[in-house]
Amino acid sequence: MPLLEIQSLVVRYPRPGGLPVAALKSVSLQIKAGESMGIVGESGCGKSTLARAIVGLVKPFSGQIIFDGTDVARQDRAGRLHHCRQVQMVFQDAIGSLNPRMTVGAMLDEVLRVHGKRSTRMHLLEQVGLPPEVISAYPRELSGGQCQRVSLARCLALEPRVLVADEPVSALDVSVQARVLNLLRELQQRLGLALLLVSHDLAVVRTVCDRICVLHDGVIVEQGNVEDVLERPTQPYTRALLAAVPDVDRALAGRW
Amino acid sequence: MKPLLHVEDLGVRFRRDGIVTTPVRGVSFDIASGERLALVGESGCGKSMTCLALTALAPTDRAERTGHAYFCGQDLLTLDPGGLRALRGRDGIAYIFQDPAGSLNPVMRIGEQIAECLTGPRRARQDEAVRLLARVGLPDPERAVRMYPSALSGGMQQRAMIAMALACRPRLLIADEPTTALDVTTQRQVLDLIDRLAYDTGMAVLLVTHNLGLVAGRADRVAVMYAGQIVESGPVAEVLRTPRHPYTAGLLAAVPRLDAPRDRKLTGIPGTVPSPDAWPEGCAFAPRCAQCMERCAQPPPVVEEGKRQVRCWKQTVRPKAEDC
Repeated sequence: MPLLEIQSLVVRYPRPGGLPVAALKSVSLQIKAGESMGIVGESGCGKSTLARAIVGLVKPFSGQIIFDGTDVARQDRAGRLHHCRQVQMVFQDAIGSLNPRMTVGAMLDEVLRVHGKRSTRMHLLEQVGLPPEVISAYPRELSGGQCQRVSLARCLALEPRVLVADEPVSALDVSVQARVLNLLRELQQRLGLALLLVSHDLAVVRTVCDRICVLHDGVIVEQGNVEDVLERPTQPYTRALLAAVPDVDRALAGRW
Repeated sequence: MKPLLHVEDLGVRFRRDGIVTTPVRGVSFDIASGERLALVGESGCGKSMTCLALTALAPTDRAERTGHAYFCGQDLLTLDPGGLRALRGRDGIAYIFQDPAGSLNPVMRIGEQIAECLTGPRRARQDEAVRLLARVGLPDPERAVRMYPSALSGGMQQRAMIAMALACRPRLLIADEPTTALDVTTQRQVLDLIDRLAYDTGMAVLLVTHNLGLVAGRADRVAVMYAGQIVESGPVAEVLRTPRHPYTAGLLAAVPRLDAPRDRKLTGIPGTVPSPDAWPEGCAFAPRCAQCMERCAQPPPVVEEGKRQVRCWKQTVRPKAEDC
């Protein structure tokens, strides 16, 4: 049975004085425990909306999000709380995700305390490759990469089963991106997390994910194994996306 | 043949409340007519500041600029405001930036903004604006000239920016991360447009980017910047296939590829980029370099070999038998 199953999901955003915008127009997909799935597409395709709906930040118009057998959208408050512990999210804005008035230690403490978790702050920092000194640092004293690691540590504090990462590295320098991506992959494999990585960057998704889902204008145009889809795309949109990616090797080979 | 732009030992220094920062130091490069040079590096390396310093654009108008930048026989760094203004006109230097919405006047129609860059009778300028918008591929240019920037998509706004930049038929186009805010498919269209226009008009392009994939596909030569300096430069294919500076090699190893074996692990570079108020002594990259030697405590020399240049002590101990 899949860990997370999305069935015919429709999400609409209201528009003042007009018809609502359909951000997702009936999306269906499945993610198994321990699997890593990449959601790719260009701006406006609905990938961030999909991520938010899975985490519970956005209410669907229709359709179902079934996590571990329970329909997320139809839960009461206690159910939603339970769900958010199991499904955690990391955002693109690394420093903006952290409370500027709290030290790293205080933020991790708060999470552990409120949710009654047994892990320790040191253990969390160790898991994300941060040195102990970071405990007393404020977010403004940290680099983008370090902030992202702190966000990850905060997520891991809840021992989630699914980690949703919405463009987690796009705002970081290239040399730092690699380290955070490696960390995501390593955590996913070591802790058996299901990982949902939302990105506009196909090469990033290829590095971290086993399966891929291509979104365009609120619908899934293609999905499957990352190698199959990227090497033998069947849909014109997927092909156009691949052709447009500025890849170092392909450019040097003069393929485009 | 003399280069179109010859930059020699360019430096930019800010003094504020007794604190000195030098975001650009000792930068030298040439661009020939019709050539595309990419300036690549991560945040804080000085690539944007270098471009702004050429024509004293803010904040460099408040900075001490040292060195020389010869463009068509004039040293740009010695020009007064009148001279710089003339440069932004015909046959001069034009810029396009990352955020078109931030560069376009939100309360002025597109056609007006383009016409503003031109000289001559109003009617002729308006017609030229329509012609330019058509040239940059804006659909229905007759209608587009009457639109406000907010009515256009990001890609369309960037095309409008390019139209404005081209209005003065520049000899050099400086494009600072022109497509970073755009989707890949739009990015490809905009860059194809710049390439085609450059080819048609013989315009040179200075492309600033952090994206090595763009460098590989859209430039003839590349200069890699780190900590305010150029650490490696040369023809694109050579530098990207056989990088000589450890930082260049590190960047290449960190970039995910579409065709590399999937179990190939990405290698980051340990540490973080230094900031302009605290450049490391000696070689700026030494604290993060796996090949750091004792000698690296001294600022390394620039080693030239054929068309390639590297700022690295390692190059001075390479066996001479190795060809470039």
